[in-house]
Amino acid sequence: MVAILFIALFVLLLSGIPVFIALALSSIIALFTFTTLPMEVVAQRMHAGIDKFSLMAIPFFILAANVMQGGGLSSRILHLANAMVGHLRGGLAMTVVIASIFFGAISGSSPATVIAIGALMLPALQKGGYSSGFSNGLIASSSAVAVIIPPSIGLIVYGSVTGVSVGDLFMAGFLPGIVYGAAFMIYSYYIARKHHIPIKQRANKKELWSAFRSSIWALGIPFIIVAGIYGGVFTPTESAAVASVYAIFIALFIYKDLDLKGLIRTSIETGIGTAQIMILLSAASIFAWVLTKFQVPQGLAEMMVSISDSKIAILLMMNIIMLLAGMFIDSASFTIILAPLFLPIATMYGVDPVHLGIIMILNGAIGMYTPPFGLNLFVASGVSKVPVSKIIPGVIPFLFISLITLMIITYIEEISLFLPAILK
Amino acid sequence: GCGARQSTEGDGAAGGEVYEISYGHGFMPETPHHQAALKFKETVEEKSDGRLQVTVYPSDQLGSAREQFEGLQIGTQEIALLPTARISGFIPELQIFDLPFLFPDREIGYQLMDGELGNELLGLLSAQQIKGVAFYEDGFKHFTSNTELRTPEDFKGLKFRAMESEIIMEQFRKLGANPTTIDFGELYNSLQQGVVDGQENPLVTIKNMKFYEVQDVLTLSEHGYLAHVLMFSEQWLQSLPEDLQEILVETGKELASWQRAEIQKEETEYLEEIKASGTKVIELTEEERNELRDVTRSVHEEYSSNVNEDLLKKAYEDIDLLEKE
Amino acid sequence: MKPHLHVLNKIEEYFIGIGILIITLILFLNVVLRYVFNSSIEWAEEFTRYGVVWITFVGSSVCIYKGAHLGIDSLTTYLEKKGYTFHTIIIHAVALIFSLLFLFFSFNITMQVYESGQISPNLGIPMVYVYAAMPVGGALMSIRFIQQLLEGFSKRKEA
Ligand code: NA
Ligand code: NA
Repeated sequence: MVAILFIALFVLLLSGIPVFIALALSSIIALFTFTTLPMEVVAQRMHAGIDKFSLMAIPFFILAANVMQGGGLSSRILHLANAMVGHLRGGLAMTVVIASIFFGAISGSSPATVIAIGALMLPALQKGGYSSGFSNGLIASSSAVAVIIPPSIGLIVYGSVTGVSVGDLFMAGFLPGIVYGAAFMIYSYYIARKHHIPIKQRANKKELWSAFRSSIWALGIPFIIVAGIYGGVFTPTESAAVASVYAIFIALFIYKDLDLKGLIRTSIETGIGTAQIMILLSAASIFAWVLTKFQVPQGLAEMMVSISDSKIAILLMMNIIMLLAGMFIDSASFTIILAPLFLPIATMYGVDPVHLGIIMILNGAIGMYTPPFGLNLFVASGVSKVPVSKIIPGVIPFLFISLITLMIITYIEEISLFLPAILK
Repeated sequence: GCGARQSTEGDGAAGGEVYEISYGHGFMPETPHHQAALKFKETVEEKSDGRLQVTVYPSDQLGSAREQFEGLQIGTQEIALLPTARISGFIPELQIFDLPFLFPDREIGYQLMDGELGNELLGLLSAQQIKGVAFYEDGFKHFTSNTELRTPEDFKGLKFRAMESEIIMEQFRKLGANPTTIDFGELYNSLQQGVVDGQENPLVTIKNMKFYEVQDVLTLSEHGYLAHVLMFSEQWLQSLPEDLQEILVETGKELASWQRAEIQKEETEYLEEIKASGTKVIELTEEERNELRDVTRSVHEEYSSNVNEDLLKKAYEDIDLLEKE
Repeated sequence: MKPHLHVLNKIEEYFIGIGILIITLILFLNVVLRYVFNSSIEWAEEFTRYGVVWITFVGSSVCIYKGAHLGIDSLTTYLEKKGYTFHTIIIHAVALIFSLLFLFFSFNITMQVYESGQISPNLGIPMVYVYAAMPVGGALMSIRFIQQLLEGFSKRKEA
């Protein structure tokens, strides 16, 4: 059953058929061959997979990104970024890391971050001399790991499943998030050196000031999002809608780079971008349902415990299972399934429940850009129009760094437990 | 393995067919709800000599309450334990539980749910091809906030997160507060950042979702009640041999009182934990609670047609009778 | 057939474009009402979700003729370099089979939802209007894949 499900998925994926069809059709084949379940469940889950408010940040951030692009907001922010960091080796790439981590932290949705930062920064990175593989890989990965930085929905879900304090989990998420950011920045610097990415002359004060002045309205977007969320005005999802309306206003009436006709065109593009990604989530939902119904993650977990009894090996195997699950199941769902299974085993070996939560969310995040299925790869492809086959080689180094960093965080638990301990 | 496949061969159990059953609910593994589901599994498997095999799926793994209800109808699962408030889109009468201050106390609530009124409500499910078995519970709902809530005056101008329900929205308006819908997943953050000032939920949810971590005050208002219905797919149930049907229905009924006792026991512990975190816990005086009840009473009349006037009248009569006893 | 599809293109595109603008505006107004006027649009959240469900399934049809659906392209690119469209025709045929299955399954569940009379909790509209997005989307997708198949055949003839 499981074998057929995955063989069908990979054959269909490799044939080049749209990913959503590969996911849904392989589920249909497995259900039809091995069960007597009514096939209406396919449609039911495809509806349920997108009828979730937590996903609504995606369309709104696509809209905000498209309007910023078409309305001249993006180019002004990029101009400013270049004036500020263009003279530093790897400056632009490092800016992207910071922006993605920052934005991912507040929006809490890694596909939404890929869209928002990707639409803004991918063209700039490529103009700046970075390869498209590297650029897409950079954004797909740094957007994903940011979800452990609070506020994090994944950590709230973990807290409610396991009974661990969400406040402690939030504290514990900070340092690992920063460790990831640092690792990606070091790698960016290394790439910039190795490939002799050109650096610009340092902008003088006058140039800096004029870049800042022309982008002041555009800078309102990140300001509104951050101040609005931390000031308790709106939720992260709502922030995306507010940012869109603000961007439309600026583009129509202040910069006037966009007219009504352009706005309609931009909205249609947004509708297409929304469908592109949401239909993937819709089809992934029936696939995940099949895995859940047949208790595949549970089976893997049971197998794991029977194989080894050393703490290091158990943690390693947990990581492998979570990474695999993270590719196919969204992190909230797999936390719900795996946390109750892993927690008793982990605590038996002396792993702190807070620490396990961080490891779990990180794995879910890394699964988002693990080829061949990681959703962020497809989202990045949708934004950059670079085919997934070209993005995969670019993301491999980031995956490699992520896994090493994951091992470090897994085995040095102080990285997660230090902050909650001193703040108690 | 293939959990949903019904093996028609006589493998395993003593000669009879083996029926594999999926039982879904939305609660976390540590809750009395899940414990009740596990106890159900244990009991029916034992009583049926293994002819019934149950797999329990907690934490909405099979989908939201609305989706699981549909799952029973289309046949992707056989059993579900779902909150009444989440399935009233199918049976509007179930909104009766959402009316503020309907049950004077828990005991009366139990008697109503186990009596004629409960039976009538469960019977309504058969129009949806669902067999309603028994009422389980979350218990009474309470308010959490950052300021003390004793009188309607204290609610003035506060923003409360309300579930997607007209009755619950109106309840907040009557108290002078502003109801707003916030997705459950975004609620913890919204309370922390102050997007909303407060929310209402039973203790089991306040404890599980850690809302007390981001709220200063818990008011034990007992202003509303959250019930759950244990339900089976009717068509599936009918297809079973009669002895098995009986085992399933009887066990489901018996466990209702076990689950209620268990949740009351747990609530004491939840309260300890919430108090230990530094959250102030307020108990209302009789007059305070009565005043809150009186200002929200008109919600009953305004929405009586939604929940069915005759049912409501019957509920009032039964409550009066029970209160006199 | 072509001119009709042109009209259909426009309808679909305006539907998703205007749809996006409307849900954005409603969610925005909800924030303003809540923060400034201490009031709210109670059905804003529900409306947003249902709007996105419709945009997704109708937009999915637009994605087909715009070639915007995401996929792994290595084999396709390789074959296309050889000017070989037989593979594409098979892909489109399989995709068409999927769309028809999806149309069938989603039509059934929509009918079931219609019969159960399920009402949405906040807007109070029958849930059948939300589920209907799927059979509509399934039908549109089927039309698009048929269109693509026909184009594939005519291209093959030319070659
Ligand atoms: Na976050
Ligand atoms: Na507190």
